[in-house]
Amino acid sequence: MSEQRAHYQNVHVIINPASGREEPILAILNTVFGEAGCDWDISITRPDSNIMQMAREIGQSGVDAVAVYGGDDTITAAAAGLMGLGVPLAILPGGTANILSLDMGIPGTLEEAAALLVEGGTLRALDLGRVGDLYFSNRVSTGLLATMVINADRDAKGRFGELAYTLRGLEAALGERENSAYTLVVDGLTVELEGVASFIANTGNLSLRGVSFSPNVRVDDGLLDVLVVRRVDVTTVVSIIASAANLENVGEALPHWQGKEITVQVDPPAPAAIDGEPLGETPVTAMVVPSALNVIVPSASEVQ
Amino acid sequence: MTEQRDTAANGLRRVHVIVNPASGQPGDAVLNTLNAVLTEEAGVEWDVSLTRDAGDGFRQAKAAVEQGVDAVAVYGGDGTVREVVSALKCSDMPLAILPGGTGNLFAVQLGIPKALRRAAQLIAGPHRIDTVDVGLANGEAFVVAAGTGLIAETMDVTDREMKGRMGFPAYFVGGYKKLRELRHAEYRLVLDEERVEEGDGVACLVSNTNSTGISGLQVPSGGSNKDGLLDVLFFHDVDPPTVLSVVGDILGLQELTAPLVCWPVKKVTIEADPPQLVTLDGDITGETPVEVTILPSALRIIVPA
Repeated sequence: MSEQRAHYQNVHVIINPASGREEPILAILNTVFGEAGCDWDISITRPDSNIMQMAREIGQSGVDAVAVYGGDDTITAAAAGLMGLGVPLAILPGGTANILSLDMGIPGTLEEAAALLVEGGTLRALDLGRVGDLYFSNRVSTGLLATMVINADRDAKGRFGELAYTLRGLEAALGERENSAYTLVVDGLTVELEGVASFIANTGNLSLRGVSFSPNVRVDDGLLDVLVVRRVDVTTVVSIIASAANLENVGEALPHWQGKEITVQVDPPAPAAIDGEPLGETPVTAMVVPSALNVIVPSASEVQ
Repeated sequence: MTEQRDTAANGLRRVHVIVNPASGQPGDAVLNTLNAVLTEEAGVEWDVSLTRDAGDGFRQAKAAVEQGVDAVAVYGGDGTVREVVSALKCSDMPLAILPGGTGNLFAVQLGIPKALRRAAQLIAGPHRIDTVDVGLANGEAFVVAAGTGLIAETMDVTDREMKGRMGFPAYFVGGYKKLRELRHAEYRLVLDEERVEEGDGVACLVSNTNSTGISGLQVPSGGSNKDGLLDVLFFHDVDPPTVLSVVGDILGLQELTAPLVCWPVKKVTIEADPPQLVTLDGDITGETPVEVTILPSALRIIVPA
């Protein structure tokens, strides 16, 4: 085996050991990093850890890169901590539904994802969304979608892909529910329409490799997208999902707008969720943090 | 009696785990298992540090003592365990062994489960804290045995991968290979600063336990790691057929017939001409001369209730 000198020589890995995957994390990292002579260390997150602060302190400690092993929640919190530090983030997918890593084309196995730190890959900017002092990488949901996301069963999320699962569930939850009055304010422009749910998206991935609900939703476009689901859309959306070949049409079937600052107001007030966590009730205002940090992703030539 | 029985919850709330990521069973999902057993089953708070270079295990264990955790756990081979023992000896800090490396003789002797999950459950669940003796060789701690000559050289020539695959007896396949070039030395042993024994020999072994670290070879005096004594075994210079019988015994091929002398002592100084390699619990640590002493009841260790 040829000796390869690691591109990132000094790496700190934040590991959420409760992330849902069972694998010999340390043995794998030791093999990948050890063979490349990479200096690495780890920190473990606990249920009560402030991961954002942990990542910020590590990012300021002089490392070349901060890698995070965990699900999207852990990775988002660490990404928020690294904002503005100029230290790149490496995503080591460890959760059941790694939407962010799929969106950024990061390999699905720990070996391959860790090898990016050795090979170097390339840097890609990642926008984050912000609601008050909370950050999100994927989306803020309201209405029925928020209820679904909050109640989502983790295993089912992993199997079907989070959004696909959510929309399937949406049909079941819809029942006789009527549309509510949605008022969107998109960079100062007000839009009024009826709906049962909405989401403000930073990423567009359906947890299926290469499949986005809209080609317009990019993690580095400096914009958030807001999509509203009307009662009439649910059947359409579910049928599109059922014919998996046309998944990319899901987004096109829904009314959507782009902006840097988006407010969603619902009458009567509806529940909201931020990347799977409860966020009280609407109204909710989300802003984009453009190019909040750089993420190490495969070089263009390595992407299939 | 220095043992004490803890309550069911054992009062262990915070544990620091020292892991050698380069050792262990390739399939052990160490972090997942610790999370499942310590965090989710028992609510025990834990943190991890990784050893990279010699001395890391010692420093990390000392730091954990200063931090004031309730126990220090170690996942690694005998060498890592030895460093942590060295840091914890003569403190009140209990040690938990998560068998992860080759050998792990000490863990086996104490009845600590070999499976990671069950060893971790020992920390979180019912256990007792035993107190055992620690050996010191030129100031370095060991728990099972110190050896010189043939015993050390077998360690030196047995490649680590083979150790990993085959376990401890594999060391002695190396020893067998070494036979043709077997070197003997003029030994001078000073027992308890009084008695002097001299003679040609191929190896000397100082055991803190009832084990010699050699498969099938027990300490003739039936030593224990609680008796405050070391057992010195001297392998006289022998003609090749006799050495073969020693190796045969080691490999489990035949009964031990080699001339073997055993003295229980509190201290022994071993000199050899020419100088011989020294091994502590399977690690080559230097050459003779070596002074071996014992620290009675110096280590608290978590064992099955």
